[in-house]
Amino acid sequence: MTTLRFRSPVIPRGAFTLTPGEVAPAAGRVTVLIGPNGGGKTTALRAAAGMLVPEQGAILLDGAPVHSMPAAERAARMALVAQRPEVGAPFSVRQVVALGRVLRPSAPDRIEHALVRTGLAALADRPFHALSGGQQQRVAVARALAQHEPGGVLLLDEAFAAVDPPEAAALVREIRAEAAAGATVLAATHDLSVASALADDVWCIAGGRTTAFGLSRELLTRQSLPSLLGIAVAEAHGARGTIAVADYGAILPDTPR
Amino acid sequence: MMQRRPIVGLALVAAATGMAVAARLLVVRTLDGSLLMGWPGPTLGQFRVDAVLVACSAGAALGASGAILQTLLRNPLASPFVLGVTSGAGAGVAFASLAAAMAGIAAPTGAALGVPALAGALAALGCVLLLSRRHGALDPVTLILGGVIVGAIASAGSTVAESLLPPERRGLLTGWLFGRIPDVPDAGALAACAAAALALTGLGTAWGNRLDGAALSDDEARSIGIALGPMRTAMFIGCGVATAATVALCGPIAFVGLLAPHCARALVGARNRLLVPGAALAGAGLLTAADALRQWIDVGGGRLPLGAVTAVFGGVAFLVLLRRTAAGWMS
Amino acid sequence: MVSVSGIRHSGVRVRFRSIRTVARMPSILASLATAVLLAVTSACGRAPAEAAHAPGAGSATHIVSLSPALTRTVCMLGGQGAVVGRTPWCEAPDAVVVGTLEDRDLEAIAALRPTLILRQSRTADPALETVAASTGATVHTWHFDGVDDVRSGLDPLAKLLAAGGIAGAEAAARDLVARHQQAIAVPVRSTLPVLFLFSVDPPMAFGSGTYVDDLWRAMGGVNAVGKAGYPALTAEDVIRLAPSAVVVIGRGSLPSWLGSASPVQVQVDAPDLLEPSARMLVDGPVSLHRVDDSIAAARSGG
Repeated sequence: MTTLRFRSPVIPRGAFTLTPGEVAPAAGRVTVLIGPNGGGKTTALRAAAGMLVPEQGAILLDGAPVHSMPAAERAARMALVAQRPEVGAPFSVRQVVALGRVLRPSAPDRIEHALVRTGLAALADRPFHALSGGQQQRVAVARALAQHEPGGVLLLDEAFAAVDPPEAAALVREIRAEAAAGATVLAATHDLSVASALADDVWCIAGGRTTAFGLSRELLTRQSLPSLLGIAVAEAHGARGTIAVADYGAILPDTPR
Repeated sequence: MMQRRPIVGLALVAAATGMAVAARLLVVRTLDGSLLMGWPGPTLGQFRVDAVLVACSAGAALGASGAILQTLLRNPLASPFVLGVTSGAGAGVAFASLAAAMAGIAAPTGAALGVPALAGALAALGCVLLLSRRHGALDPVTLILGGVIVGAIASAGSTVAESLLPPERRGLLTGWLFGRIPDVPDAGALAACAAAALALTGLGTAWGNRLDGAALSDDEARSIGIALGPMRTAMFIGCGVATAATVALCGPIAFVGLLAPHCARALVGARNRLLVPGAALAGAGLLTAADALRQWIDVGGGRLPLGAVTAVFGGVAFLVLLRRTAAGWMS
Repeated sequence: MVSVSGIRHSGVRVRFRSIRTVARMPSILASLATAVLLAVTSACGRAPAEAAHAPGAGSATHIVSLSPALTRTVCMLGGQGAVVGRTPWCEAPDAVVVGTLEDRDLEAIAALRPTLILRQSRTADPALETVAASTGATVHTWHFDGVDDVRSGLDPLAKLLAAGGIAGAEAAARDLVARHQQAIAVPVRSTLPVLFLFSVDPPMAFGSGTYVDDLWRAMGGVNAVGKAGYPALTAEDVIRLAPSAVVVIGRGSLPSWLGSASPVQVQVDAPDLLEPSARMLVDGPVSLHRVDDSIAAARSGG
């Protein structure tokens, strides 16, 4: 099992500096990243992927700094799904998913498996650009699933932004399955109901600092979330516990419907 | 688009190029209007063989460059010409001619044109890439715009150099800026262009998987293990060198670098391992076919310049392509 | 390589220009930038020359010529003192350069206050006409392709010069025509087809209806090229033509493949054959006789 550890890295990003402190997303669990936009969630994910070099401190993957790892080795252990999937060539869906393993010996069964798990088997031969935004996002996740070896690190940046609820449900199921197989999953999302279903742990980043890190059942509640996210939160009861739901109605003036 | 086996597509491209070569070697319309078919014997045949060698080397270099640029820049309209690289190479040569005129020495010809062509090509490419960086990443829309602008500036520079040349040297440069398959190619320039075409195609094929990966966004490409920075640098320089070698051999030629990858992609698919050699073959075929057409068309005033043929056919094809790829790769 | 634009033929020039515009796509910006840069560079040379050409009491006619052939013809008719504006290729060193037929500097032309503006073209130039009207000048356009064009243009041109105070212009014109008739009266010995090239890379020939063709045929010769105008040829075309002799008019080295086209290759540095002017009328036949002599000498093993 791979361990990912943030050792007080300091990463200046112009408007703010990311200083998350000592954070260790656990292996075999899904850690959901929440927080206001521009607060550092994407930065944290990109830094974890080795795209940014900390000025002080380090981000360690199995004890070695991520950014100086040989690219091929890192690619086998860690997969990143970026915010807006971009494919600049007219590949088919299957070809895009296969890109995850492009520098390694081909493993067509892993690619097929990833396509089936994300519900894309029927679309596999269609051109990527003919798909809807949500479908394209699922292709990106499928690529990440095909890429990393079991037990690695999966980094997802707003992978649920364009997907509709049934698609989101399938993705939640597969991501949790990855974690169950031993992967360390770090996923940023704005969607609180997805977060409730997905998260084992919650990590909140605002203004570049860690404002909270703990169990989801403690943090994704009506009491804790408003102070972390600045919105009113209601709760619903789901099949496996409470679901946090953003209560936008709380900000409306008192007028009868 | 039905997925037939890509290797069959590559064979089809090769066959089409073979037909273009055969057409150039065996069919010509004489000055009095009759169509002559067959091998004309060693004296005349030598010219045809040279023309085919030049067209295939230059076309392959342009086709491979076009395919690589379209992949790296994630834009279906990228090409050495649209990105101003061809015009930059032309301007390099124009200013070298001007410098030679001012120093009172003969203008550089043949393989010696390679150096100013390369300098101009790389300078233009560098300017375009600098202009198109947004938040540290290449913005495809700005890229084409930047390419057109840098190309226009380079063209204007060539025109200025032309006007500043003494009259007796001017015609040389004007004629050269058209782009043509020379009757007697410079051996050094031909060898350099052929070598550049082979090397670039070879490199593009060997790195085909990496080029595929570069189609993803920068972060995702890096996360799948691609060393984007070094690969881009190497491939951009490679494309610049290949384009400069083409310009040194034939002068500036438009549209082949843009259209050959699209022709190849339709038959071979988008994976670069087959696309790069496919585009090289297609480029060789397109340019050879253009030169063959030149031998058949007679508009009364004698043979058309190659630039006119590629501009007319290529321009129309470019407009069709523009409509089809209006929103990126949607087609 | 023989320089193509050593030739100030408007026919060749206009054709090249229109093809170039087709072949160069982003041309609008190029033209704008060129116009700006040319204006800047041409302004540098203007000021001192203008002072030297303030209209004096003696010269009644000021001529701006946008054609080197016309400039030379005017000079041969006695009007060299009257030429105040010229192209970079005209031989009239006292005149100011005002641009070319296509890229003329209208303000510089107006500043010279010409009475006559001469140009060679198949099309009109409305902007130039407007400028001319504003300064009281008249624009005269000729188009010279064949010998007849030049010969019949001499008289009207001489009349214009005479009206502008250049005495003897009409007599000079008659004299030039007489000398031309004398020169073409002597036939050439070569009666087999001869190819006349003014460029070898790419090969470009004098076709039928051009002045070289007219002169050569008037003296009994045969042109190997039947096509009209100035056709561009390929090396293969030239070799297939198999002319009895290949004549290259101009300087520069000859490619080795010309030997496969014809055993007789003659190169002549004859600027009078590269310009449809009055000089071509009188000196052209002389140069062509030299060519004929060289052909005969080569044939007899010289």
